[in-house]
Amino acid sequence: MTTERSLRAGRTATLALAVVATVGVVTDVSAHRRDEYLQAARVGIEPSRIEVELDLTPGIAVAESIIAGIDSDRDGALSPNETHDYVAQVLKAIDLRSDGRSLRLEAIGWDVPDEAALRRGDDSIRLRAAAPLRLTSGSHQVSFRNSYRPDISVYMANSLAPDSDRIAVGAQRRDPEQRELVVDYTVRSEAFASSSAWKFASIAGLLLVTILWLLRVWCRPACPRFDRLDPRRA
Amino acid sequence: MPSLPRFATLSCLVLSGIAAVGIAQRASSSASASPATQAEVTARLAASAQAVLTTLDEAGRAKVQFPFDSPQKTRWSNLPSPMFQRTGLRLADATAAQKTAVMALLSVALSRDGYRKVTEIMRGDEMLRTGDTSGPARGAPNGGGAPPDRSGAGVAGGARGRGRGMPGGGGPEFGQDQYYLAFVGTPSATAPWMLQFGGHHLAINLTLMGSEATMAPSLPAAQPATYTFEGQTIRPLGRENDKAFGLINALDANLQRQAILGYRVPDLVLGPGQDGRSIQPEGVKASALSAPQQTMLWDLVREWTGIMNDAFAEPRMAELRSHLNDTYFAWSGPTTNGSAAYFRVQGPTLVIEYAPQGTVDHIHTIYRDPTNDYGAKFARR
Repeated sequence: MTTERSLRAGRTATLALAVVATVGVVTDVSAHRRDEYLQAARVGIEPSRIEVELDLTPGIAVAESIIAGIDSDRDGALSPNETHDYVAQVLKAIDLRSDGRSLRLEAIGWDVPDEAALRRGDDSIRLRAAAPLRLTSGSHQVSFRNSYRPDISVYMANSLAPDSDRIAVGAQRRDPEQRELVVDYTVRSEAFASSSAWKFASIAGLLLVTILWLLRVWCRPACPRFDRLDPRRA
Repeated sequence: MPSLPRFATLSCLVLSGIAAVGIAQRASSSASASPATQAEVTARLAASAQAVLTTLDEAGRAKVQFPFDSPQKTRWSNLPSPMFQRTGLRLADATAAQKTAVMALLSVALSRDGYRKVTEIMRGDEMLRTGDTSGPARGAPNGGGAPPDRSGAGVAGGARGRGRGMPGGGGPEFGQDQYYLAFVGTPSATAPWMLQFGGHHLAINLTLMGSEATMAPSLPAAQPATYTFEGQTIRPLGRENDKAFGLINALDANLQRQAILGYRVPDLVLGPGQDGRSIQPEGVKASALSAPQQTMLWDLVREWTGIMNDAFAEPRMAELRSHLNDTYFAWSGPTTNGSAAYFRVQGPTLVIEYAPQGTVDHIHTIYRDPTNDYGAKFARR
């Protein structure tokens, strides 16, 4: 006699076999990352904030575990509320500091692909977050540490090249697994920040000095104005 | 006797000199090869692309052509289809004449070595399809160290049909026929357009505008990274690997210390989907290397820039060399050849990454120009 439970068990077994077969076939022929959760972070230092971009790519063998972590009501769909909560969960595991002071990261955007894409291991959860920061001129340090799902994750963390001329990134230090990134950077004062203004001022100054020097060398003997200014000729 | 007119003349000369230095610096960054040669190659490429188009009916042309500013420009991936949905002319759907025209086009767009690399990557994917380590079915793209078959007839009899995949037929498709051609913009000797050719582990994005061309971003990758074909060992990216290990081992302990990153890099940092991003460079400065070491570095870089036709590769190399003081070489992993190690060459207009995917038999690489991906610099002029 076939009971509902045995039917369910049969379906579960079939599904499990299909997943195993899928994983087996795919990994057999193409060893794309399958049993790891790749978390690639990029830290951008801007004049008014620190921005963190995070790409989270679950391998095919860990995708179910990630989906389960998002789909809290287990209805098989990732709702906006669930993805919002998931993003908050990820950000909670990130420790961002500026000169040792803890910063609060706020999500400013995210994109969570559908479950099917996550299951296939061919898409990433992308999120952006930022912490406001008033930069003052001088030397500073920002530190980033990602502690989300260390059980299954591999990490990458890089400092983005700053867009602002005011900011110059110096040394970067990481732990061997790239869970932590410490970036030294320098902020120049705003007055000298604009490189175009700085270059223009330099060139203009150089030209002025050259012209004055040329005037002195070639015009001095002939120029009556100079003669008048020379007290020895008065 | 000094006079005001004489002073004015002298000032003009000084200003002209400053301007001349600026112009010379700008010119040195763009070319040493004859522009006529580059223009000639672009014209040949446009003609070859038109030859492909003439083999297609109206529906086929509509499938392969996209507006220059369409999202198609940035649609590429290392993933196999349909995990990544590609559009364009799929070789599996092409007639023998169409395949011949496509391969002839590639033989103009790419250097001899670039053509070899591309066909070896495709053949490697055929290995994934068949599971055969001794070589694909006859009729595979020619190359493999031998001179490319410029007729392109090599692919005409290539294996057809769906590759191995997931149950239900929705899984990845492998094989040398699972590569797609697309034109972004109208092939022209003067107007901007782009040739896209790619599939699993391969994305060639060649943007042309008159005598100028860029291959950034492009992704040559390989799995298997070593296989046997007609009794020969084939390593599509073997020279990249060997030259990089040669360079890291040519550095003394001090330079190695600067080059070697103290952390593991599991994947490409600026791979697919990372357009427009630029990371802070790390590693040893190229200017700190000795002259022979610098030669080794540029020889390594040439493995990527040299994928495109020599007429475009030469001026690109000249431009990269002019950024010596701002170019870096970084390494992560063991320094014994045969190990899985990541490396990166980065300069103001260059990012090259080589990232083994946990094994030496599965390699991803990327080639970018942060200032000129998809010909952005050309478009600004």
